[in-house]
Amino acid sequence: MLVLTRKAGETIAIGKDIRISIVEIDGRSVRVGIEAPKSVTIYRGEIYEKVQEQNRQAARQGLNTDIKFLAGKLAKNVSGFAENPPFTQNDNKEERFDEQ
Amino acid sequence: MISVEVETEKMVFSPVLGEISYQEDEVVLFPEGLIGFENRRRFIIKTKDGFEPFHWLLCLDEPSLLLPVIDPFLIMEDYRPGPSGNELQSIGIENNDDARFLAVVTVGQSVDQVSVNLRGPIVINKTRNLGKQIILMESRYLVKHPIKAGRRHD
Repeated sequence: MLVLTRKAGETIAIGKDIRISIVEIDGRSVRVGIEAPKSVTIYRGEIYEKVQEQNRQAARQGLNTDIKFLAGKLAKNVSGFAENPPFTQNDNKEERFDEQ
Repeated sequence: MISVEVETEKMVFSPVLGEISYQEDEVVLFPEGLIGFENRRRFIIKTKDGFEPFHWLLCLDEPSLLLPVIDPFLIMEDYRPGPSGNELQSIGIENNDDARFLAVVTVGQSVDQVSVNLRGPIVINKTRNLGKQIILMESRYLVKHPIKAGRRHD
């Protein structure tokens, strides 16, 4: 692994399309800005791993009777399949990043 | 002259669901696979008696791969997945009319520990049969959102 030391305001370029900026350092937290092509998906590492683990766990459980039990309960409560509502803009500014 | 187009029915054997028949036009292609199963690309969505509103995402490349899924809007009425950037462009989704959302279901130790992944939904382009699992930026949606028996979580 390449390890670099950077100060607040400094950047790292990866290839010609990706630029990482150290926006702010506050104690043990570092705010990082990422500029990348839209085709590059960017996730917090731990979230990606959690989703991976959840998928793997889901794939192991087979025809679990707990699901069948819940199915019966949910079916009674569900009045109809809701149409998907429109996409909404991500309003969480802190988590937004600029894209090229 | 009358020409009749006959859809050829195909069969797949799932160790869990048994013999499953499907039509080629039901197959959803995930160009990037699912998260953790990046090499598994072709899936069908099946229902099973007694399990609705849950559905099963069955992998045709590896029929032992089966994931229970549910419409996330049934779990959270005001679910508002806002994909960042143009993450969904790779599966041709420009607006909501094309999209169907599914959330993966996992079971814990007991019926009180069944959860739904609202943070990493599967999005399907209904008209083009293309799918992708995305991760939402909104941290208010949980990877393990609990569903409790007997009531909706809104």
